[in-house]
Amino acid sequence: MHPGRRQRRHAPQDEPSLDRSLRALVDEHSDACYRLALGVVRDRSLAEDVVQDAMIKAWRSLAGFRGESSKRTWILRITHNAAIDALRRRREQSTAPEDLPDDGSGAGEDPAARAADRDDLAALGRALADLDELSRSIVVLREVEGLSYAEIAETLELSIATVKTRLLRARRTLECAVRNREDP
Amino acid sequence: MMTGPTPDDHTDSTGEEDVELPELTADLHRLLGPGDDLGGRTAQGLDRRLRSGSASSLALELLGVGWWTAREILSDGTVPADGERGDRNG
Repeated sequence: MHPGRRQRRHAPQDEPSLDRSLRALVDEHSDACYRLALGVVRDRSLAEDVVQDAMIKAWRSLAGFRGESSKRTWILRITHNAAIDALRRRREQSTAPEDLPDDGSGAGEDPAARAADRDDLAALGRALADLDELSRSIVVLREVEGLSYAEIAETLELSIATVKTRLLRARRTLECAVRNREDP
Repeated sequence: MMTGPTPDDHTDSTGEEDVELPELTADLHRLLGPGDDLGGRTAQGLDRRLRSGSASSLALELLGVGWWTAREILSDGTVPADGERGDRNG
């Protein structure tokens, strides 16, 4: 089916009958797009909306994708733009500590240790929130998604020098925040 | 899958060595983790949008008005707080 054409087939409620190319985009890129979106908008529900927006935009533009960049950087750029767009339309909200993900990895540990661990993550979350949007995106793309400087520059349409400089400053800020939490 | 910085270039613009920060990477992964089955939730959300958003979404798209703008207009600025949102298409 051509991108942009709506699917009309009926499917069971729990099995979305998405176009195969859209489903492939979701399967391959939704997690990375979500992390980038959450890094920018700092709100889980809004980040999921941003991912859906980005997936639809990418799917509808697939026919025009000329492969001049990798599909990964292309869809991350769409996601970043969608996140900035969403953020402009909404008053910024900080990620509350209670909204932090609980991956269950601490199950069975000392509750005090888990609380301290969550405090550390909360400190990191606050430090991340204090960065400007562009720096947050650079941090996520580099530290979490593992993109090269060149790929980040391409994704965010910046110079490599700008990426490096912003990343250096952001890392120092984040490290400082976490260190202060450990050594009050 | 957790990935780390790639060793494409190892100095920043100030000439400092680009060090890997595995703890920061791990903490950011936990902080920004999508939780279970984001792909499934995204697919279902997209399915709902594409099935039921047809006429109104198409009209908004043709007018160049996005969902958030439309929501602000339709809600007269009183946008419901996060967590109170219902299914936007339901």
